Amino acid sequence: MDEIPVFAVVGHVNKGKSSIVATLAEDDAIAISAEARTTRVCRAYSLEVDGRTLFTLIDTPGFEQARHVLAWLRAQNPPADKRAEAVAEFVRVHAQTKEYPEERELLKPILEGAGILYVVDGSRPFSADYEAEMEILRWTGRPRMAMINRIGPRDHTAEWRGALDQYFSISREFNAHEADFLIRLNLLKAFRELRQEWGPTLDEAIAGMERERARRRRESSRAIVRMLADQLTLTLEKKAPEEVDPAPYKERLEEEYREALRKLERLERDAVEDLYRHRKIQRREGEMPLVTDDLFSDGTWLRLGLDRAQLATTGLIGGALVGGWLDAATGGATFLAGALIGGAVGGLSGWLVKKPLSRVSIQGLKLGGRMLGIGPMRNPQFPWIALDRALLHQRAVSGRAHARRDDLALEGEGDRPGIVAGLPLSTRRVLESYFGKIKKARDPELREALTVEMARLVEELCG
Amino acid sequence: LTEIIDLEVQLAKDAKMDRQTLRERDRHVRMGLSPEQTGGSRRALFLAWLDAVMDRSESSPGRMIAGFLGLFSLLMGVGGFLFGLGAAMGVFAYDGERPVNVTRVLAVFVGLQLLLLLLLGCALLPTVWISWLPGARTLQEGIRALSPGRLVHLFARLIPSKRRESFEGAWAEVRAFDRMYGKIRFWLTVRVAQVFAVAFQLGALAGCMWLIVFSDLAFAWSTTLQVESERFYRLVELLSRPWAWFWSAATPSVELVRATRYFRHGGAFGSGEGAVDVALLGGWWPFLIASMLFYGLLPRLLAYGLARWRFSTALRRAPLDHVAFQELLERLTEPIVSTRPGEERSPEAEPARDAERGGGAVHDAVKGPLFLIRWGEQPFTESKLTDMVARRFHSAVASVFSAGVLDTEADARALEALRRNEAEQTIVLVVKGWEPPTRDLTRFIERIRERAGRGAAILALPLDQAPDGRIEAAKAEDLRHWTGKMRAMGDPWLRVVGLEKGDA
Repeated sequence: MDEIPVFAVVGHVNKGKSSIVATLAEDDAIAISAEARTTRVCRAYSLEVDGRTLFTLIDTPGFEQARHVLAWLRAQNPPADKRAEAVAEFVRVHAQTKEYPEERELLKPILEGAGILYVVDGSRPFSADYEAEMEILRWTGRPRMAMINRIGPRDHTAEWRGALDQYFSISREFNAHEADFLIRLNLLKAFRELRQEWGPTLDEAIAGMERERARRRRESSRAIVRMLADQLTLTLEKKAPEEVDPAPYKERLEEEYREALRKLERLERDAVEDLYRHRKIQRREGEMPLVTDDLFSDGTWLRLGLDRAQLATTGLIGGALVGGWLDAATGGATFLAGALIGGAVGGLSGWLVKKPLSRVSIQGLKLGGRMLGIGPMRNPQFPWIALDRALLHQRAVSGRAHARRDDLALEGEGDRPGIVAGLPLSTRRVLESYFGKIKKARDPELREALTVEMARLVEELCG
Repeated sequence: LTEIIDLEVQLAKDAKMDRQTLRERDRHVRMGLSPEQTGGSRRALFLAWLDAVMDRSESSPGRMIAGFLGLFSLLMGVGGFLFGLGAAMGVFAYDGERPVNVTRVLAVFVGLQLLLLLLLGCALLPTVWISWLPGARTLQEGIRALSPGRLVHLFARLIPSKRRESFEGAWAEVRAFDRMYGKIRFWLTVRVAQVFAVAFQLGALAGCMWLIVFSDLAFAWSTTLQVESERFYRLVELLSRPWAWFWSAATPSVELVRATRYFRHGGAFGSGEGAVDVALLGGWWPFLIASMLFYGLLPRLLAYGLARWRFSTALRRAPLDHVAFQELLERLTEPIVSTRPGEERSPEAEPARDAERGGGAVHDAVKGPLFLIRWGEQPFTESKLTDMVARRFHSAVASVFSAGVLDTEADARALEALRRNEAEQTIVLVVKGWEPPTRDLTRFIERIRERAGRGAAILALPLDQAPDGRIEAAKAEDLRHWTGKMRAMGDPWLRVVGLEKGDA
């Protein structure tokens, strides 16, 4: 059985230790605040694969009285091989007097064998005050690595490196708020160098994280396609008395239809955020114009999805494909005519961007009264926008560091920040054909098979 | 009391106002005051100022609180009286079968009262005396251990960290207030307690008299302990000695004591001498009334008088010297020199300054010699720092020290240089604004306060370093953070100041 690596994330007060732990442990529930002393006791966060812990990170309170601790240690004057014992003695002696609560707490996991991740803020200048902390850590004799976490805009990394190199064999820059998956993975690889015995377990952890990453992409693309399929095929019905004016019933039904579409989208968002273990994200309307902007507001119609010309060409070729398929079905006799008519229909539909989502149909019922029905989706732009929004959201969530506490916003800027508009025509064409097929598939099994097939394509587009 | 509360309320209101407006208003007030008003004590000046700036009609906060306290005392008085009445009814309850037990009356109205008085005495004893009395310190500590103040910290742990900040802030205000007005509050509490106690005694006496006058009480004494009648008599005689020389009727005779011993067994009286003279059974009452008067009411009246006297002394001696008062004094006495700018000032990029109460005319808070202590390893040179601080506080720097550096002995050297227990000194603590305050620093500030004593001004000055190495004001956010943390220390003479324009 390999040794399970444990890392204590230590540092001066308020240098973003908790942020680093939150990002590395993918836990957005960790309390992070600009106020100092948010963390008062050590807390452990583990990465588990198949129920087996592969490494543990320990969030600790910050150093508060390091120079006094160092003065005490130096007063003991132990030989080099007894220094770690002196540190242990320090913790023992002061447990009775209740002095130095933070230092005792943070040294505990280190004395129990944890590796040290020493965090400094690279946006603030180095000063000799920190030497006491680094010296204490050196006294513990544990493998240690420095992490330069830049919290503010200024850059003092170079000064820091000079000082850190005196005390640490490895130092890395790591911005807890911006680190994406690859950066995190690279950091984990650096951890391997701290101690040979940890290598195999960490390799396993890295492989596990990569697999997990792939699984999340796959699962989120399926969630997206399932949402699209549900939205495209959604139908609603409502009974109304025969003699009464159906207009208010119609209106209500349309509103219910929209709400149902929105609900499907919300469910998908929750599912994706859950996959990436972002449980506290605030998707707020107004602050996040694209991802949470109401599906039916004008901004979304104009900025996401395909533009008119794209929709036309995609539609043209999609239509031609449908026509060609019709031709094949009728034995090729009307090949050219079929393709031409199909193309014309598709092209026309492309121009009708503002086409209503669906119309309410009214049918008389045998036993009196009328049945109002709505759906399935008729607007050709709708699936593109829905897909675009879902992709933007998925990319934002998957790249988001767990230390961030701001609302989820989009990186994309400009007139057309969407993803689908930038896809090659061939991809758009295939997607369009899937939209059509899914809409027509009455058999749930066929629909599910199409969903899985399409999800493979969408997976390529996920972040 | 009304005045102090009104002053504090007005100052708290002013703290939220724009400094320039305040300066102009207060200076204006000062100009309007007559020489008699300004020539006297600081206190008189403050009161005259208060009259000018605050509408102190019937509904001023001070009046309201004083009125509330008066009502509270009255309620305590009524409550104490009723309580005493009830106690008397209970103790003197006579159902016609078993006579009223004198020992019990003595225990409740003399023994218990003396015990409570002893406790009160312990609580009132000055700390210096305490060290002379064996066991008294433990007792005092025991009483203090019961105080709710200790629970506050336990409670604070249960609050989520975000709320904890504001909770600790509020608690710090309470502690700061207590450090300034602790004596007043203490004697006020004692006074109210004495009102209750006096009323209790009066109630008990009233109840006792009522029963004696309107019903026929039979008294007796009994105890399970093996006490000879003679020894009980000696006790009674001892108790009645203070008034024996002028009120002999209130001293029970040996015969009375012997005759009124009551044995539960068989419900029989006396020492086997047969029937008891019924008239004798009521003979105890003058003694009981006298002991209640002498051991219950009289000491309480004295304690009440003492509390009243100490309370008014504490009020008179209230130092009125914390940061806000210092500022007010300066606003009142410093002439306003203003120059009208001839042209628009150049819109230079200015770092955030005086976010909270950091800025403003702080040189007014400087008194006595100014000691400069640099906390931690700092990138600023000493000469630049000294110049800057001298400019900032309009006062020469008496001496400069380092503390919080790797050499922990430096802290002691800096502390030793300060004057011991001297309010007339100012300690400017230059800190790196970008580093949060550590426990190391707060402990050092506590040691400064221990050394310099009440009233000495401690000014924390957080600074920042510009990219080109110059000293500049700390960022607004950092300053806010520092202000919050320092305020949480609950030290009324400690404050965070920022840099002013042109100081750097």
